[in-house]
Amino acid sequence: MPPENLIRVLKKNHPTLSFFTKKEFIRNNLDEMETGVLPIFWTIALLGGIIGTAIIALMLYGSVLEKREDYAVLMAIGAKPKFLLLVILKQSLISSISGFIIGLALDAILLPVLLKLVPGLSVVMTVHSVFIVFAAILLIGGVGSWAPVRKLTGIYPMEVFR
Amino acid sequence: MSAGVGHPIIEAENLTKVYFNNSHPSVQAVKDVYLKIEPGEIVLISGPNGSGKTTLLSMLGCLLRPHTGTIRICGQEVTALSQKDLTEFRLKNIGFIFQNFRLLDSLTVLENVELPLGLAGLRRPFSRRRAAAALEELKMSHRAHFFPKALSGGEKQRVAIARALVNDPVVILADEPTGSLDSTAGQAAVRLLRDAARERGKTVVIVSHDERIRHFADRVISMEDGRMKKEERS
Repeated sequence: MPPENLIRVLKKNHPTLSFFTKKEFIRNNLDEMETGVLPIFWTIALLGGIIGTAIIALMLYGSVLEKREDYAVLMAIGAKPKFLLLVILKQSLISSISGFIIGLALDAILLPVLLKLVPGLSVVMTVHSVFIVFAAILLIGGVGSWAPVRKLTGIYPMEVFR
Repeated sequence: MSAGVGHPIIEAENLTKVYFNNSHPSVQAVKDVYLKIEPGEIVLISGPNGSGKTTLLSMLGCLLRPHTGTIRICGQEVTALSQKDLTEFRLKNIGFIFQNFRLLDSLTVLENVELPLGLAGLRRPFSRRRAAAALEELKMSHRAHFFPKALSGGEKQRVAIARALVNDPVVILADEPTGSLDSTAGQAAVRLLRDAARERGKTVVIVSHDERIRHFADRVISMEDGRMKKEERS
């Protein structure tokens, strides 16, 4: 008997219960995930991105403030704005890529533990998703360096004489 | 780049600098300055605090634009250059020595001296060799791999002099080079600067109110209230 017919029979005999085909069951579960758990995960990821951007921005902004005199010296002796911009971007990339590597390492260490604790959990980490996270990390690094770069443009080489 | 024979290396005419406060002129730091400095000359600009000597030095060092007047260095009118060209000009033609040495604490002595060469695009093995040679000349090789924090004031100023000379600039500008040094170290630093400059035929402009270094200069210019008051040749 085809599954659809079997379900029809079962529904007729047990009207208070619900019956699904395997396909319907998976579809229902996915719908449940997409409307229930996934938005929460996306919100957490988004918040993580915002916090990461803020941390990188604050860290580099603080570094520019702290090294203000050094930047003024570099400007005075002939460093081009492009060179100084690259210094900030390099710092930002080093910070964000370090975060990415630490995140991957934590994922590799903690995932088996998590799967042991919650056997029903299904987590899939594909190369594609790693690339998406890496791209997001680069974006976070780029956006996070905006405020420090703005601060840098407010430094004048003349400040070396203060 | 060099000025022709008999031409001044630095020529400033009618220099004026006004500082603004809320877009209203508040201080006229430099007024009607005319200045000619010959190649190889060592000039001391002295005067009390607020006399405009550092502002004048900043303008001669292409760090600050005058409101009126022109500056020619090595025959090039720098007041007409764009910000980008000024940066390039400073890198190639001007060496700076600052009061507080202004060495980068996160870099070693060798890396500090190497810095202008790297900015000028010289590749690592060559820049390293030149920086090491500059330190050797100033008898600082034994400190090449130290960080500036481990050096005495006199040693830091030696490194700063090496950094100012390493790019072979035409002009050396020194702002209060003895300001952070005791009397002996201060005299030694200026003597070293004078000797290094003489050997290489560099023009040196020193801004200082330290009377003890007057005898190192070929000419002393006294400033007061933004104007050049007196000029003495030694």
